[in-house]
Amino acid sequence: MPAKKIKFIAGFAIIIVSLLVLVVSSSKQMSMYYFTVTELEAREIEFMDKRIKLAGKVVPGSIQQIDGNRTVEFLIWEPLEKDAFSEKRAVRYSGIIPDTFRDESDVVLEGKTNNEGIFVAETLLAKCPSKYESKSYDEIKDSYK
Amino acid sequence: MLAQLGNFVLWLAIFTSTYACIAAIISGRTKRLDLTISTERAVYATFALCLTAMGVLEYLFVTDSFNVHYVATHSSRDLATGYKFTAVWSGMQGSLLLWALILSGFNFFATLKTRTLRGPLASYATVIISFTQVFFLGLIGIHENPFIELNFTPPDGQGMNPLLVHPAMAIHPPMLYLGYVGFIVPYAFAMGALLSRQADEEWIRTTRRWTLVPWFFLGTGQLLGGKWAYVVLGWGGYWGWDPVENAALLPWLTGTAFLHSVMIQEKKDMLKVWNMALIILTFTLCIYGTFLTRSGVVSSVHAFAQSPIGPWFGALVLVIVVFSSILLYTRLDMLKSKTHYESPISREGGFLLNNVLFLTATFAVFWGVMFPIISEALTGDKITVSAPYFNAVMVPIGLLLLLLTGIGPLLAWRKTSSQSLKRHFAYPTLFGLLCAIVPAVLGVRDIYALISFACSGLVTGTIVSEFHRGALARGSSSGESYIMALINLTRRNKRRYGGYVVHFGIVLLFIGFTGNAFNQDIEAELAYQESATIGPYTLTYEGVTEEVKPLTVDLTAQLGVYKNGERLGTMWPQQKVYYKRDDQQRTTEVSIRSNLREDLYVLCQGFDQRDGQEVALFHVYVNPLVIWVWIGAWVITIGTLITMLPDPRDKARRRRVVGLPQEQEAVA
Repeated sequence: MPAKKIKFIAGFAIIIVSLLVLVVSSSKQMSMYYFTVTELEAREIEFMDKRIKLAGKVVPGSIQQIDGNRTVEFLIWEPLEKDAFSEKRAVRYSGIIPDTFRDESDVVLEGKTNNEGIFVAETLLAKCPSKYESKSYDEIKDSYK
Repeated sequence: MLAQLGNFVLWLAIFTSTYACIAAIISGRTKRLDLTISTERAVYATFALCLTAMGVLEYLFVTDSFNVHYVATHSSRDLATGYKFTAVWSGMQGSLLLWALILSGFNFFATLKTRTLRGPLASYATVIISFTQVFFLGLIGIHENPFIELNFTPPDGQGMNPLLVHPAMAIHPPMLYLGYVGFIVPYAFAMGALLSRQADEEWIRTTRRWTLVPWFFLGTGQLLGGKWAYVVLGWGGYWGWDPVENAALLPWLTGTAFLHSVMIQEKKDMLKVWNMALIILTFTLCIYGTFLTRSGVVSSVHAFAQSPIGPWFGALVLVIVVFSSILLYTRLDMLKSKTHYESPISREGGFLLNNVLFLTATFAVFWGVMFPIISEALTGDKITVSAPYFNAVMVPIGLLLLLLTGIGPLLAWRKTSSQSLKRHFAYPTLFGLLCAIVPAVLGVRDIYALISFACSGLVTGTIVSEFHRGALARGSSSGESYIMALINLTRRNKRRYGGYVVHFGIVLLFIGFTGNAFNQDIEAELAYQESATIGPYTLTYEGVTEEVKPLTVDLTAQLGVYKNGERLGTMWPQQKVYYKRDDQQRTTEVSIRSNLREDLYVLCQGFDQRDGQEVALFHVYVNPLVIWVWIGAWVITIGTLITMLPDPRDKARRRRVVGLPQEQEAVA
């Protein structure tokens, strides 16, 4: 193999490897555990006071606004089987409340569990129930009865 | 009745596209002219049928035919007619039909435009596109049929989600689809070249414009989505590294790499295997993106319906990957390069680095999207990465790419002398340094921002000097005025100078992105005539009005905007409550004051009582330089249009291609 070609390959290999190191190391440093309500329950102590992502569904009727409209407290749970839900978990969140946040929204929160057992969220992503989803035939029929 | 017609037309289209697929296989093998023509007609018919099916569905929407399930669940009487029209693609069934329609349109135009190139290559390309067409139409017909009727007619439909009622959202999906779907044309021609063993540069020449079109739409489609998020969703930003956004970014990144590296193949006959791999990867990522967003594999704030068709897309991705790789492997011998690379400081070297960076960026995004799935498979725990990861990785890669945007095009082919380097880069480098030093002196300390400004300055400098030197040279030899020389220069070499304009648009995008480093925001709880201050602005709350409209109750807060004690104007952020909907959905209407320097972006989050006094809650952002993102998008649009304008030299080339002996044999 000519020396030029070796140099060339080595040069690009160095660039590629260093970029890959950047990718992998950043992903390790900046990653966060993602739990559902039941998964967090199972590993409560291990992840006490650690920043995680938590996913669940807003328990209907649980949303309470405190301190103006800026802070909300609500409960989330995880649908297990048909009409069965997990234990509830209390959440407190301050910040912009998305338009899609309401009863039964699916939420993904980012934050920590405090020593009262309340999950203090710093970000809240919500997607409203069946936003673009067509309702089933029966559901439509029901809604017009 | 009409719905049944729609359904019938849909199944006819499934039939014609299946026929086109089979007939194209046979005509590819036998080179029979009659079958080739018959295939073409089937392709035209498929397009006409898809158009009819879409027309029927549009008609059903516009006429409020709520006896159709899909219409009943996605539209309502009170929707403005324009939005009834666009509500067609607000759900799964209609958006898939739009996908299929665009696909049949691409097949139609590609077939029409390449009639002069009849032969195995074109036939096999038709096979690939028609196969995908059958796949999509079949999915629609069996799983996601928009023409299914209810056995009763509801008095009104359930309406489109209010968040989607926005002009950007009306055209964002079609544009993205034009991008996603359009990459099938270069992919199909690449596969056609391999299948027909005509793996020279013909497929690249034929599909060059067909690559620019989807590339352009995929890019602008994403920017429109960003614009929608910025104006409608009201979180103060336009890009959040959400999996769905990333899914659209992936094929754009590899597509951009492809656009660049095919130039080396055209000019230097190198990188043949690599280009094949790139277009395969790009098309795979297009389908993969569809799979991601439709299957619910990764969780996203974009609430697309999870549907049983997810696995089908997964299967299609697998089929494409396996088929394409085997085909490429068996044809490797045909893809030997005739020339070799000579020096790293050359145009080829620049292109290679460009490709490496784009592919690393693709990998970084892909890695981030798939991280939860990979980590769960490996460790049993779902671990996610979000915006901080993407920023940490993509900012440096992006800046390197930006720098390369300035340097690459000025390097000479094969080898660049140090003299030419000095001549080309002395002034642009000085200008770039100036662009970093001035803000640094003014107090900017963010290192990435300074690098970004420096690179932007350097790239702008090289682009301006390219136009300037070109115009001077042309002016002195032809005696034209400077302006005329500039125009004729661009006209004579649209690809090169259009490309520079696109690059300049990219610079503007980066300037806009860099603004993110300086974003500020405050939350304020204001009683009547109270003020809040952010940056140079003071905002005074001047009361609220309530207006009951047919669909909404609009609560409009009025804010006076002051700067240095001088009144600049008034802002009206709103809360709209859709009081007729069961869920009482409310939307927050952002108020934005935009200038070249920064956006003042105000949200009204609601109203409350404090000590017996009514107060309004605001979230105020000052986002510097955002407007340059949208300006950049327009410049890219203009640049792309310039590169796509017909070039007399292309025509001459095509005439030559038609005369190739293999083509005559195929037609005979």
